[in-house]
Amino acid sequence: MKPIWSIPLLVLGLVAVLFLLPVPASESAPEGANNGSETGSRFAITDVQLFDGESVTESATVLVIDGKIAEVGTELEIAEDIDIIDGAGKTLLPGLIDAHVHSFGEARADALRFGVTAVIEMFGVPQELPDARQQRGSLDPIARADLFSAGILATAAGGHGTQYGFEIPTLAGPEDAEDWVAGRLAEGSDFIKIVIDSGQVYGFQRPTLDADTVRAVVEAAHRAGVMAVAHVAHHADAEMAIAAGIDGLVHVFIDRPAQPELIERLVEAEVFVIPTAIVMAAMLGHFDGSERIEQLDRLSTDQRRTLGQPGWGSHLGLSLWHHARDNISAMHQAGVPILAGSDAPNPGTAHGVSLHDELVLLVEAGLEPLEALKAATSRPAKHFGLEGRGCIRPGCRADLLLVKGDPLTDIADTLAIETVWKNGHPVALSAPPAPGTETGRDEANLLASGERSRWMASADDFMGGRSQAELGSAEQGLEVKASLVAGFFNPYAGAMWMAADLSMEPLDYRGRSVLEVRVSGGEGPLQLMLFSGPSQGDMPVMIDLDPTDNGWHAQVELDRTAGLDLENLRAIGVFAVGAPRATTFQIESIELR
Amino acid sequence: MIIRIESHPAWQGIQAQWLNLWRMPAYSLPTLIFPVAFYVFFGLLMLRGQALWLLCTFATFGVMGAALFSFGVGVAMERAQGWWRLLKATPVPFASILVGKLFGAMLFGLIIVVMMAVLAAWFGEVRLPRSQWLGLAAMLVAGTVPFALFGLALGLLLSPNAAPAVVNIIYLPLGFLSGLWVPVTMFPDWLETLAAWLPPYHLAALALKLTGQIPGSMTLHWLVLLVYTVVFAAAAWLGWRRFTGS
Repeated sequence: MKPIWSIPLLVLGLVAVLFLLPVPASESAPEGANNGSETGSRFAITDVQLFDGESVTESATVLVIDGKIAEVGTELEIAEDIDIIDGAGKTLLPGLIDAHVHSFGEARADALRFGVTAVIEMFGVPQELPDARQQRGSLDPIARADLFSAGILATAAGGHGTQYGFEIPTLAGPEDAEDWVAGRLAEGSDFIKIVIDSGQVYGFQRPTLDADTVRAVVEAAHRAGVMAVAHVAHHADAEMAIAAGIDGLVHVFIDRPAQPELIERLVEAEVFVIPTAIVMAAMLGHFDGSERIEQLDRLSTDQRRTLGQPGWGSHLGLSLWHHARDNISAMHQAGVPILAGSDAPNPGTAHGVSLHDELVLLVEAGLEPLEALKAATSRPAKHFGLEGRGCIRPGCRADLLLVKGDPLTDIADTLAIETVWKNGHPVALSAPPAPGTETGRDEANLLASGERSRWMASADDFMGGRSQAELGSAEQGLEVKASLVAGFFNPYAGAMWMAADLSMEPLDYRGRSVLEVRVSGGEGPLQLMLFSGPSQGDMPVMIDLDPTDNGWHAQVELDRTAGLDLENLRAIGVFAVGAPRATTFQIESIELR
Repeated sequence: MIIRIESHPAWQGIQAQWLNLWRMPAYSLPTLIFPVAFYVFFGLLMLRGQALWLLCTFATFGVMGAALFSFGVGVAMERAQGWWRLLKATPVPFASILVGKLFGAMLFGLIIVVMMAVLAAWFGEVRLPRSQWLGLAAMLVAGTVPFALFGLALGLLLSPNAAPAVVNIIYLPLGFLSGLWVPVTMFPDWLETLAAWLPPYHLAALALKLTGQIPGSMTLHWLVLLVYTVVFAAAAWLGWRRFTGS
């Protein structure tokens, strides 16, 4: 070929390669979620393994136009003006549906960031229901999962559901049922939830509705054209619910193994079950939510908090968990429809995340991954009448979840989230900036006994360096043994004080004006690092300590320190930096006043 | 008057350089492969997790090499062969020769950057916004200019026999001392101070700042590179005067 062609072709080819280089996930999924931009409202996902809510298609193409699925096929022609998203090696699922949650605060945003595009609430405040109903009918961009809700639950005075600190209307007998149900429907409830639970299995007694009242509520609901579901804990509760004509159970019973007769009756009466295995596992000590905190870096403050709460029923013994698991297994084998629900945000669970753990437990209980995925998509959509959800067919909502890998082989892959679309718009996946409104503690002396547990050794080894630090107590204050080893970046090792209970979470420390540190011993240079700002990745402010007769000192005027965000103070570190060496110093005093 | 691009002297120069590079794989291949292989070895295999930082510095190393060798060694060799003496006697404008060589150096620079970028993305899991991938390539390709002038000055000022040796002697230490192999942050202070006086340090710093590896303003680095460009251009001009004997 002549140079006049080959030279420009080569240059063009090289530039083309630059255009093909991979970009960060956040750029390939632009944050169109809440800015109303039209980006992403017309796109096609190609060459993807598709789970459409019912079955699996390899190398499928899904075309999304204006918030809805327009076409699905294996040999679709895609017009040139449509953005293409390469789905090779990935699996596309309908946005997941969590069939048992309690939605407060940012719950629906947290759920959505983990691919849960609709939640079914089993008890919540009714005030937000009219708004939720209006919102879920729209295809406008929104950064929250759609909400379907029971609103207030039906329980006896003093029964389960009355302990949450706000007044709810309770039922005294069957005669209250009609009015009570009418009240819920007026508030905007989508279905009726009834509590049948004496608390016995947990070792206490509390009032619960009797069989006649339960039947009356179920019948009133059915007359009004809505479903009735029941919270149960015991085998006997389930029997009562079935006898009353219930449509679904929203927990698995855990007190004993399911009797074959009961399972037969569940099948005959076409009752579905939302076992909420994950909340049982967390409560009974089979699952430790705090592990998730370490594994996932995009949890919100609320998600971290609820995951970190210990299960309160671990003293009840793992045998109850085994009942739960075996009962799920037996019901599934008998053909009882199993729906996935997490019961987030109960202790040890969190919105969004825990539905993925529920799926893992369902598979452990014997559901095929395909069945588990149905349990979180088409099945709740069918039983709760959620139209256009839990499906990927022309006309369905473009509530979609794209994951790496193949959850049909390994169910845990549902958490390998690549992109979430809500109403055809990609959702920002990163954790929202933690609100810095929680204010810091009053203690000025950061070495006071209440603050001592907030100190931790910190060195570059956590980012791949080889320096190390060790903390011990000194006669006065805190002893730090730092061993600096040359690594890639400037080595550092020392001690860090965390503002909040959770590592590097921000607290509001406005109102403090001075930070003063005294260190004795040690070979310099020593440096103070102040971590603050809306994001954990923000650069710390670095301040050198000045040498004194027997050590080091710094007094920092906080309001004159550029780059410091006291509203979001995360941590304060005292580090040995600079030349590789081993040095030991004592933090004699450190005050934030 | 319409001049067809094929007959424009600059294009002829580019075309001649293209053939020159194509027909001298003994020169072309090492210039392309050497820095890329270095990057694979040090940047991807030995020091895991620093693929982006080292992409910036080794790509700087690569484009600097392409420019220095194309001009420094290339000019000296062609002088030694008597080719430039012959050219002087022809009506061929020397500017077209230089344009051709500069194009060759920039093309090699681009090939090196693209090869390293692909490797970095593939094996080092480097992800950059598209604007940064393009910006990095454009910045480094533009960064060949001062080194091309430096090479030209060496090729003209030094004796044809000395030039290749000198360029080789300069190239590796200049890269090392500028922190292209090992980040300057790991240097002793005095060496770090020295690095800040060297032009490759500033080209690498531009790349590192563009990709967000180090914070701060780029202005100083641009200015330093501009000053070096002027200095090298002046040196090349002196060399040219000596070569033409005027």
